[in-house]
Amino acid sequence: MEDKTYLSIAYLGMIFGLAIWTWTVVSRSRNLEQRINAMEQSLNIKSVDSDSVASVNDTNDN
Amino acid sequence: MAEALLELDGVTVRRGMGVVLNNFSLTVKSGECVILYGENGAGKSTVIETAARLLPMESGTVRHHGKIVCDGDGRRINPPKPFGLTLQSNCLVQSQTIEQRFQDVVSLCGKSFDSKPLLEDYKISNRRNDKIAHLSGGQMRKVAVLSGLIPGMVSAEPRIILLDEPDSGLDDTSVEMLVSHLHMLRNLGHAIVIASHDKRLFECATTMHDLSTAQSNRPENTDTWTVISKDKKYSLLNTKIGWKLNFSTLVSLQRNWLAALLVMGTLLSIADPLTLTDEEIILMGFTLAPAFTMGLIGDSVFKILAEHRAIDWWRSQHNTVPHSYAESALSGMIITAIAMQIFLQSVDLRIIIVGGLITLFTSIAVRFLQMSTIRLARSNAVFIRLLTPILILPWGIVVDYCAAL
Amino acid sequence: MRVRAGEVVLGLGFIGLMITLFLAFNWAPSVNINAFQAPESQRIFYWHVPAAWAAFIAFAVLFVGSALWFFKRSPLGWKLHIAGSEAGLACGLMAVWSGCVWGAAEWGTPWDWEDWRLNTFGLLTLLALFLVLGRQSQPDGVESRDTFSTFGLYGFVLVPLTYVATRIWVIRHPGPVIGGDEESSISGDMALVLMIGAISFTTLIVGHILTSMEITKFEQRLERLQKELDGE
Repeated sequence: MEDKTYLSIAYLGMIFGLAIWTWTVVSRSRNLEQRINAMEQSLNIKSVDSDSVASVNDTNDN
Repeated sequence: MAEALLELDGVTVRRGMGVVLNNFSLTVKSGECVILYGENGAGKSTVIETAARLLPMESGTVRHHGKIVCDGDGRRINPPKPFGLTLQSNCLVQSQTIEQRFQDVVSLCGKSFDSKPLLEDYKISNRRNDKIAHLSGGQMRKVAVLSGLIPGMVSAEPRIILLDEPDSGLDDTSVEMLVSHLHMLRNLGHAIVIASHDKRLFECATTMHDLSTAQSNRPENTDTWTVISKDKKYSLLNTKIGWKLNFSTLVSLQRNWLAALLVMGTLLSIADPLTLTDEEIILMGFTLAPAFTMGLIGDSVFKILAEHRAIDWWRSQHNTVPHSYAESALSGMIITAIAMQIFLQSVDLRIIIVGGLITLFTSIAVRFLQMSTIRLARSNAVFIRLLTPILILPWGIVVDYCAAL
Repeated sequence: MRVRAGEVVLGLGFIGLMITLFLAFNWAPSVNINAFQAPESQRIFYWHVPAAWAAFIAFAVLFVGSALWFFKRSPLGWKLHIAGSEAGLACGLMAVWSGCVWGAAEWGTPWDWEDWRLNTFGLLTLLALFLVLGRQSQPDGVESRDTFSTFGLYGFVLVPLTYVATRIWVIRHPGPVIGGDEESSISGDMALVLMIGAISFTTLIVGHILTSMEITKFEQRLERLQKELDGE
């Protein structure tokens, strides 16, 4: 293979990987936010941020 | 005053999404039988598994016979004396016979005994030499429960016996027999902890515990168990049990040997050794590749023990569980000798020993990685072998070194 | 839909990467054609080195997150662990991929199994892959978090080892560009493009880490809502 072909393969691979990764992360984030908004509206509650694994201790202690 | 055999002191244990035991304490003395009851998810099995050193704790200590066996700082010390354990899962190696299983349990206690009368009591003496995989669910449960009782049955000295739902799957006659045995073992001075909902077992209890409050009880039965064993000395027990498991199941043949022979065949199909006489490094790589493959497949005994949580039972008894280190080294040497003959048309004892060591160290490394994920809910699905390519580097260095010999 | 800080930083990183790419092809000088088998392919390093640099930052985040979870049970630590492993995997794969292509062009082989630096970096990337895939294979809980953070802690031992390896065991792979000695220095224009690349990758990875942490926050909130719906 020619020198420039290697160069193109390397960059195309990286650009493709980067694009897929970024698109996955951003769409996952937006998708989750939409689901949460829909559920919060149906449950009629305000959003609370806490880690269910780390915070159970506190819940049990109370 | 009776000796405290089992002490859980201020134990906090987290499992899954929450805290199951929070600052929990329990003391069980010689001649006591504590029955843990309560709703599903209350933490009964967690108490049993924590007492058996199987669960890491956030805080607190567990003592057997007055000595710390594990604590919240992550210490995990071998128990001073063998103890009986039956978990909710049967923890049995399916390819063993009932007799082999009982002999392994008894050998851990440093004793020998005739299992026949005991098996007759539970009506499974006719299946004594059958493989556990061929038994019905109820029969398997009997074997698992007896494995938990045997350390008490073969010892006149007080022992700890931990049983998690021993009655599940047992017929009425067997539950009656179990109740009678529990009375006798308690009266002999053993400390028994049982997690159960079955009211038929409640009559054995000296204490009923719902994990928040304890209630005293006075059992009427005064029969005492007659010990049924002789002393016997065992050495290198984990190695011997590993050998036996390996040879009775031929698991190393079907996994490690088969993979190594396939690699050797593949290498032979792509290159004729006679045309590569000048390529010393390549030929040495071909010679040592089967031994390396054998190691990468992993410890065959670990594979057997990973079925049905059998490894948890062994881990509770001793920090070192049965292994196939000796068999790995020997197999590595044999496969390297064969590969040398094929690829190098010579035999050099040094290279053969190196082959054995490659298989040994590689399988130890793979086993270490597998043991690191044993706590996970789905430890078989965790992609741990993704980390094994790092072993190629030291293997390559050894190949270079051997080629220069 | 509101615009989030993580996505803005991500966008800035992307713009920087495109500028780096433009400069790498149109402005940065060519290397001495006699010194390399494949002189044109050398331009791979304008993304390869910053990707490796960003991977090390991600692995550092992974280590800090693992330590915070393991020793302090910090929810922030677990978020950092997840973000660090995902970002480390992406940047690690980019560095490994571009390195392999360059190796194939320059050395005639994509990988050298006897080069400590390549192998330890490859293992770090595999570790990140193990953490990402492994986490998806397990139910969330203290057991899985403890186990994966232990691997995160062990894995970080490889970072200083990899750096030392670049200095001691240089077999085929060139010496370090960042923090190297005088011999390893590169021309001013090349260094400038490389620096723009490094800043861009750092910005990109910060954006990814912020977005990933937000995703973890969303997932945990969703878990709580699901439980509420289930009536627990």
